[in-house]
Order: sequence, then structure tokens, then C-alpha cells
Amino acid sequence: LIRPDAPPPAPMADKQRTFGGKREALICVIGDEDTVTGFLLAGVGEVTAQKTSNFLVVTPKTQVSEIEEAFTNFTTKEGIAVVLITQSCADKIRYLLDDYDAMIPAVLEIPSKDNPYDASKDSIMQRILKKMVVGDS
Amino acid sequence: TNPSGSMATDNTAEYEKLCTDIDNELRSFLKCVDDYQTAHAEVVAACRSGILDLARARKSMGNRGMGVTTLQYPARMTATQIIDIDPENESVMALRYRSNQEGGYAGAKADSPPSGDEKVIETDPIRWFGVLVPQQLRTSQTSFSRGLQSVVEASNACVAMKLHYQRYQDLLAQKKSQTAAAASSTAAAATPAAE
Repeated sequence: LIRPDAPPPAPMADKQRTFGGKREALICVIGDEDTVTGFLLAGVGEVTAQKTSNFLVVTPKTQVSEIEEAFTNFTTKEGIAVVLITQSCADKIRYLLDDYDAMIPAVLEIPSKDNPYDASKDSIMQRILKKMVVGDS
Repeated sequence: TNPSGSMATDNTAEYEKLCTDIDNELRSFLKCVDDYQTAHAEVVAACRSGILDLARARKSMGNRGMGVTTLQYPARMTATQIIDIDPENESVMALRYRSNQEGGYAGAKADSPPSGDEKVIETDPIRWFGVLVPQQLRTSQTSFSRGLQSVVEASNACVAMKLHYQRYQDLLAQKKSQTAAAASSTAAAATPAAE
């Protein structure tokens, strides 16, 4: 029997799973088809019955708003520990990455098929260099 | 006895300890930066070799079958590689393989066969692309799996880096306030003496 005033069940990804006292969390991927396929082969992919997934395949037709929405979703939802994003996708939403300073999930920029990794564009590396060069005022 | 003298000694010892703590936190921060750069370089190398092998596999498969595309992704999938976060210390993450006993579906090494109406949906993700897949696809899978471990190391270093820098900033602020307090008390003690 379902009570009419009962709240709807939370999506699987929002529930905090624990195992042996430790909190389980997923790795999310935002990138081109090859990068996402590679990490899915490694076993990080999750698609729930509600069709929510922990990856976004970015094609030339993908809008910047979709990448923004996916990044915001992955960095605010519970149960996510790491967000991997290719540098070409990161360049499109650089303003979001520059403003992001939460501990978890950790955001890592990775190379894509077409663009090699450039440390001078990496938001984390730039922030570290700024801290080390500017110092503490 | 000189109470003000012993208090000055205590303050000096406390100040020196604070300076030592600041140096230690800065040293730890720089170590984490080094760890992060090393782990990140490994991730970049693993991605590069994995993508190259994936391209070779795609070329090897050619037009045979359906190739290696997003069309082969299943409608439902459960992550077999997940991260365990220590709730007391969020900077400690570890990669773990999740078997079907915990609610996911197993890789090729299921501990016990499904019984009754249980349904193990999938096995190794490589099977999405066919049964007889080229060796380059398996090599690509190995590269990305190796990269995952480095991803976790880089994430741990990144979180630890932020924690150490935050503590360094807090200690520095504490030192500045102590210095300012000591300077104002010295000035206050000097004024009656001048009078």
C-alpha cells in the first residue's frame, strides 16, 4: 500500500551509501566519446533506473549550457567524490571551474583525444601558482 | 622570581612553536603539490595511451559489427569501481571494486552464481563491444584502469593541499594577531615608564 502523502523515493545517486563505515562515492566524467568510453571500460559508469548517469559525452553539437548543467549537478549532488573533465570541455566553462573551491568532489582536468593537457590552463595549477607567487597579504 | 619574565619566556616559546607549525604546514602543502603533479602526470599518460589504443581497436574492428561507440552503452549500468571516503578524514579516499553481493553487478569474477530469480545483468564492460574484441581494446581498458588509481591519488593530494593551505592561513593569521598584541602591550608598558 502506498500512502498518498508519502514523499517520493530519492534517486539512487542521492542516497548516501556506506560500506564498512566508509562513505561510497562515484567518479563522474565529462568529455569526448573516447575519454568517456575509456573510463566506462575501467568500470566507473553508472546509469540508474531513473536514467540519471554519472557521465556526459560531449559532441560538437553539445551546448555549453548542457556542460554547465552537468558540472553543476555533479559538483553539488551527494555521493560523488571526483569529477574528471577534459580540458577542451573545461575551457568552455572556465568561469565555473575558477570559482569552484570545494574540497569534495575533487575536480581534475584531463587531456582529450584532440587536445593535449596544458598546465597553464588548469584552474587548480593556476590557483596553486597564484598562492605561491603572490604569497600571503 | 620574575613572573613577568616567565610569562615572556612562555610567550616566546609559544611564538616559536607557532612559527614551527607554520613552517610545517607550508612544507606539507608543498609536498602535496609535488604529489599532485606526479599523480596528475600519470593520469595524463594513462589517458593518452588508453585513447591511442582505443583508436587502434576502432581501426582494427573497422566496419565489422558496430565498432566502439556510445551506441553500445547499455541502458542500465552499475559502477564497479567506486571510491570509499573516510567520514572522519575526507582527504582519504580509496578505490574499491564493488561486487554484485553489494548490490551492483559483478565483473568476470562473480563469487557465487545467481540463484532463483536473481539476474546478473552485465559482466566486464568490455563485453558491451562484443565477445571477441581486439587486444588493443583490452590494453586500452588496462590503461584507463591504471589511470583510475592515479586519479584517486591526485584527488587525495588535491584535498590535502587545500586542507594544509587553509591551516597555514589560519596559523599565519594567529601569528599576526599575536605580533600585534605583543607590539601594543610593549607600547603600553613603555608609556608609563616614559612618564
